Order: sequence, then C-alpha cells, then structure tokens
Amino acid sequence: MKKLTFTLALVSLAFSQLSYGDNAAKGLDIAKKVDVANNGFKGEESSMEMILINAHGEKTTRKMTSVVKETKSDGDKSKIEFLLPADVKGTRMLTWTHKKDNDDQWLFLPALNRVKRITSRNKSGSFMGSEFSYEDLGSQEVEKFTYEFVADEKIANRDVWKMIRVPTDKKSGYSKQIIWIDKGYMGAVKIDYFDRKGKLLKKALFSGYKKYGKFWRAGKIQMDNVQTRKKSELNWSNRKLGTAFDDDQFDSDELAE
Amino acid sequence: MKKRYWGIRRIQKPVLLCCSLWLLWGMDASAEVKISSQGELGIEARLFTGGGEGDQGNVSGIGRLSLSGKSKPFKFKFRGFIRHDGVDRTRSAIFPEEAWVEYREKGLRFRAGYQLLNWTATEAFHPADVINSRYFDGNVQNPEKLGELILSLRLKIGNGNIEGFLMPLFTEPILPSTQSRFRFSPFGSEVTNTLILDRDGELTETKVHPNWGVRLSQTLGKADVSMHVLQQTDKSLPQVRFESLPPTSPPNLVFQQVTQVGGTYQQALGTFLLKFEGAYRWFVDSNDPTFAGLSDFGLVAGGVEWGFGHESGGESTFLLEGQSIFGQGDADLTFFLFERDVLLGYRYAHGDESDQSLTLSSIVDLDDPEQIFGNAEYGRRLGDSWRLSAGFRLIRYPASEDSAPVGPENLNNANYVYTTLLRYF
Repeated sequence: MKKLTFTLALVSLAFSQLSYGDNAAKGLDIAKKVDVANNGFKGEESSMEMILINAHGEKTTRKMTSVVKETKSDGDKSKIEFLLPADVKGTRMLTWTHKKDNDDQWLFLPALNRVKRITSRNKSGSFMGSEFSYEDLGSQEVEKFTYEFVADEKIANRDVWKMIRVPTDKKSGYSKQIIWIDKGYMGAVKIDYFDRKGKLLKKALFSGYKKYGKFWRAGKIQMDNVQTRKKSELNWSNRKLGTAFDDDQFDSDELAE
Repeated sequence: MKKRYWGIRRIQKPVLLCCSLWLLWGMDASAEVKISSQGELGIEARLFTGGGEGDQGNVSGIGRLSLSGKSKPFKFKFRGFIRHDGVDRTRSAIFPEEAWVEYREKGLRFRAGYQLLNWTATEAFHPADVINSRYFDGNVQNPEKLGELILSLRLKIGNGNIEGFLMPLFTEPILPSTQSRFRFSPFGSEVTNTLILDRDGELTETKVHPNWGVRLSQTLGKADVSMHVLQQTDKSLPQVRFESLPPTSPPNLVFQQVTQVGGTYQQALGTFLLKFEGAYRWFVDSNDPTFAGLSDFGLVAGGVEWGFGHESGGESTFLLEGQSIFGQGDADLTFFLFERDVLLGYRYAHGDESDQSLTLSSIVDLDDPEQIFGNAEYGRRLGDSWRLSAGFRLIRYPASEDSAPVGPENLNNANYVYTTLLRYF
C-alpha cells in the first residue's frame, strides 16, 4: 500500500511538473505574442496627468509629458518631463530600457543645469509620491519576467488570458503579479501586485482603451494600494503614435536641451 | 563690489540686445513660437551661532525667473537671479545665469550668450567644473553660478558630442562683503581693484581675454566619459596682492590665466554609482615682482553612491567621496579649501506626496581632522507651489595658534542655522 501511495505521489508530481511546464511555455508564448502585436509603433508622445488620492480622499495632481522611441535591437528609450508640481517643473528623466541588463537612467536637474546618471536601483520606489512605482511605469520587456498561464477568462464580457508573472530581477518590489490580458487589445486590463512577502499590495485597473492605427492603448490606469488604502490615477491625453523621433533626442547630453 | 558689478552690466546689455536682434532676424514670422516660463520667489534667513566679527544674521528676498522659447531652428533662454538682503545691502545682487540664443541644424548646435555649464560628476568636489564664476555669499556648500559669456559650437559624434567654446570676457565672481562671516579676508578689510595676470605674465585691468575650451563627451555602455582642454582665467582661487610691503593701501585681487586638462567619469555598477573627476592646471608665471601667483597643481576627486529602496516607497542613499591635490610642489595652499578631504553623506527621501527629505553630510580634512564642514537639512513641499527647507551648517577651520587667520581660516566657527521658503510658479 505504501509503495502504491509513493508511486501515485511520484506520478502526480510528474504530471504537475509537466502541467507547470506546459503553462509556463503557454504563458511565455502569450507574452511574446502580445509583444509582437505591440511592435512597430516607432514613437509615441503623450501628456500625462496623475491624481494622488490619500486615505481621506484628498486629491493632489501631478502633470508630465512623455516621449518614447522604439528601438529594434533592445528595449525602448523614453523621456519624461515633469510639469507639476511647480518645484520640479523642467526636471527630465531619460531611460534606456534593456531587455536583460539593468536600464540606463539619467536625470536633468534644471536648478543646477546638470545631467546626472542615476542607478535604476530603486524599482520599488514611489514615482512622484504616487502608488505607482518606477517598475510599474517602466517598459515591460518580455525577458524581465517568467510566466505561467492560469486560465482563459472573461472580464466585462471580453476574453482575457489570466497569467502569473514573476520578475526576474531580484531587486523588484514584487514577489509576483497576476495579470489579465485582453485578447483584443493585446494589453493588460488588470494587474494584482504582491509584495516581497507574498501579500497582495496593489490592484491596477486599465480602462479607456483607444485604437491608434493598429495599436490599442489604455487611457487610464487606476492603482489601489490595498495595504495603505491610498489610490492613484494616471490619465493620458494628446497621445500620438508613429512619430519618428531622431535618435539624438534620446542622448543623455540632449536631456538639458 | 558695486563698481565692478556695473562694469559687467555695461557689457551685458549690448550682448543681450545683439542676441535678441539675431533671434528676430532669423525667425520665420509664420513659424510657431513656443514660449514657456517658470520661476521662484521666496525668503531665506540665516543666523550665525558661532560668534565672531561681522553680521550675525541675514534676511533676504530671492527670486529666479526663467523664460525660454523656440521657433525651429532657433531657440532662446533667459534665466536671471536676484537677491536683496535686508541686513547687508552689499550682499544684494542681480545677475543672468543664462541669456542665450541658439541655432540648430541636424547634429550641429551654435549657441551665443551667457551660459551656465555643469561639468561635474561628483557631489561635493568639482575640480573639472570651473568655467562659471560663483556668488560666494549664498549657499556655502553649493554657491550660485553666474552666467559666462560664451560662443559655443557643438557637433554630435557617436553617443555624445564634441563642443568648442570661445569665452571673450572674464565674469568676475561675486565675493562676500567685508561684513560677511564668509569673507576670506580679515574683518573690514576691502579689496580695491581686480587684476588679471594675462598670458604674457603681466598684470592688467582689462576683462577682455580670448579664452577657449574644447570638450568631448560620450556614453560608452554603462559609463559616461568626458575630457576637456581649457584656457581661461581661473576664478576659483583669487590671490591677494599688496602693491607695497608693508601694506600702505588695501590689497588687489588677482585672477590668473590657466590652462587646464581634465575629465569626468560616471559608471553605474548594479546598485552603485562610481564617479571620478580630475583636472591639472598650468598657471601662467608672473613677470611682476609684486605678485608671485599660484604654482601648477592637479586635483582628483572620486566617490561612490549607493542607494536602496524601502518597502514604504522611500529611498536611502549613502555617499562617500574624496578629493586630493597633487603635483603642487612647495606651493602655498593657504587659500585652498579642500586639499585632501573626505565627504560622508546620507540622504533619505520619504517618497511621499510632499517629497520630504533629510540630508546629512560631513567633509573632514584628512591631514587636519579639526577642519570639518557639517550639514544637516530637512526639506518638504507645502501644497503644490511652496517648498520649505531648514538646516544647520557647522564650519570648523581653526587658525594656527601663533598667527592671524588667513584665507578659509576666516570662516572658522561661521556656523549657522538657516531656513528658506520658496514659492514656485
């Protein structure tokens, strides 16, 4: 009897490993499919408004502009300029995303007229005091996660893939993320973020999807921190895709221009 | 001070007028002109706690206005600073930080006017960053820079550029008044005249000198590298000259022509940021028997920055930097502030919506550990438009027991508490 139980346990383990392997392969396959579907936008520019809502419901607004240049061989290059609050107006952040390596980042400090290289170390750090962290807003390269497909589901009558993705970077602020990807938009509609201890930390809801050429983009992300009960909303406007930016515009020296 | 200041302003006006005319002439009337502005207005107060002769406190109104615009291929920027001190009127100043016009074609940029350059890699010591003069009676740790009249041509090369600079006019630093606790000369003593030791080794009163520089900067993988060659009037180490000995009249202040070769290096290594900065300066020898001048020397500074995030969303950053002088021979280093010093610093940014931060730092002289510059500062945003900072600075630079204070020794015990309230718009 003991022998039979042991054999059954082994077989069960083998099947679960096989099933995990299948789900991991399917998860990676979906991630690659989503990546391919979003390739070819060349360049993107937009205005962004971030509303910070504290536990008492009080609101604070942040404003910025963003430009992104797609690169073929590596991750995207992006530049964010802060417009509000007034004390950081003119501050700019340049990021060269890499598929495997740490990102390169520079900050332009207008008061000192100085471009400073910074380490992209504090991925979990709050972005402008909001519930978004730097890694939430950075380029989501396929290589930066491992994947596991969970199920086909429906959200608001739309077909979605539910997957678990685990950041490969040990410096990430998350132990895992559960992501729901819309099969039509080829973009996330919901993400649950789990902290390093494995507890649910934040919930992101993506809405207001709009089509630009063949690409879909969310117009709003609402991020709820379930631990602090603070919220942040990120809204996009004046979005334009397909702009062919000069590579020079994304040089670190050009950040001061 | 006032007289010298008006001298510079006389030249500033025609320069600004020429830049404006060039901009108007070159702009296409039908082209869209994008103009943006920003600025800050506020009050700063400081109270000295260490005693000593001179003003024991200051209250100033400060302001900065920045206006920029572009209409391709032209761009202009003006940024000016003003300080009005209610206690010491000679501390009041108004100067342009930037006032330039730019023309840009693909891969090429020409800029003319008052420019503010920042070539530094390190946080505390800046041996490579020497172009702009400074206002020495403001923020003692990071004095405000004055715009320098520059014609520059930049050419894109690889992942960076090469830039040539022509600097026809010497912009004098604004030195602390004779009443200031930051004066570099004994209490009440006045400097009557500013002289420049020119390329021929002669002392001259003219401020027009054809100086130049070339700088190459590149991003190579995870590193940013720059190198420069510079021929200019040194502004960082003015020397005192007496017309006769023993002195019968107030001294002159002499700025020497110098040739400098230097560079910077920054590299990200995981969670660490490595920084190096260095320069060697060859000073023009003096032919004047009443002025010996500075000898050649080099400065090298390096450091490491290490930061990590907290689960709360905050961030801590530790800083270790050092600077050392070399190749100076038997030169007199009396007027030199940081010969062989180490900085230890810590910054905590809370990462909240009011952007609260706490900064602690200390610079210690390795040869004389009694020489200490300490600083503690807390800052936060108040609402969307205001920012408050408050702190304490400790300055220990004791003089030798058997002599009167000379140079930076005059700063000994100029400890002070300070607060600044700024409204940004």
